[in-house]
Amino acid sequence: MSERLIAFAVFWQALEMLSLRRWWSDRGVWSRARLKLPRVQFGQTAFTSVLVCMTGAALWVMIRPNGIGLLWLAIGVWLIAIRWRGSFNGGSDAMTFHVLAACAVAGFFPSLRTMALWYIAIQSCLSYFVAGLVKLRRPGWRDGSSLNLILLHSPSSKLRMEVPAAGVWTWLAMLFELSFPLALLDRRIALGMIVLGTGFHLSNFRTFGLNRFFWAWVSTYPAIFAVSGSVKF
Amino acid sequence: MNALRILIPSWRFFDDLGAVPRLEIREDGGEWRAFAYRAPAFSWSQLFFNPTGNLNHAIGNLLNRLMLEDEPGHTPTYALVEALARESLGRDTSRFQFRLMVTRFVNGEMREDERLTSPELPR
Repeated sequence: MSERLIAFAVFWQALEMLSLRRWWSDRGVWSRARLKLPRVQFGQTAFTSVLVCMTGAALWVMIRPNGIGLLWLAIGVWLIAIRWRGSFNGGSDAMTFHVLAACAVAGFFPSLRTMALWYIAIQSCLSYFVAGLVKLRRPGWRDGSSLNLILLHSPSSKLRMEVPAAGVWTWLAMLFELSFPLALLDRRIALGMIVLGTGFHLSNFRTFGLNRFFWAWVSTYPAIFAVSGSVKF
Repeated sequence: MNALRILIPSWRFFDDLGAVPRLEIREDGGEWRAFAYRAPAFSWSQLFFNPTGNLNHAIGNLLNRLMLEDEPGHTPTYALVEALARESLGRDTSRFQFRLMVTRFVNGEMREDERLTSPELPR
């Protein structure tokens, strides 16, 4: 299930990148020459071909999950990140890549499937936990001023929130993020966290337009559910 | 290093977020104006396909990176921001300047400072 969801995400990501061609073409802001990137992989035609092949590979994986298709998607996501100087969309690129890489390993070596599921589940739990921990350590997050600032300057958000209200929302988000690893203990907790997580990412999408984060993290949920409760502490 | 960035998991989202950058542009010595993002009206279809929203996110990351660089005047990031500012100019503009403003909270008060200002540049 994770491999189908992440392939679905990458299908749309490749289409998005194709529709932004004007920005990374030879005359665009992110032109290959300005970034001093090699023509072989990153010339206009070569990069367009990479993206078109990614849409095909994504459809292939959605219909029939397989290691070759998933590996190609992982390489494609990596090339997109290099094309945009490390990442196009921050953390969602990294999560997309790691889910694809783990699914590709499971596709090539079915005996490593459980290990791949654990890798995805741990990456997902760590992502929430570390993000929550970082926020907890920063005074700007604790008092709500950081959320207030982001809302004020986000081009996608019309929502404004005063510091006290922003502080309440930030604390709720921090509590959710810090408690997310509990999902590994029990399937009922996992189900609850998955519902909360889906709502969390939907609200981030609605507020900030972060659609890629939604799909990248939702694609890790089947792995979390699969491994949840399998280790008794 | 850029090539390895997504290969190494790091989940410290918004770690450096004590300040938020904003790009401003001045054409032919006129008034400073904020860089105009293209922000389409919200639609649930953007959950699947949202190129403009993601481009805005990439531009935000670019400005953030410029804000955090030690010598922001001599970097590829600076060259990209210059190109971005050039992209947003009006048809008749012959010269322009851009600057990076940084907003942060200091002792509960919101404060805006100038991080860098470019020289006047030909179109």
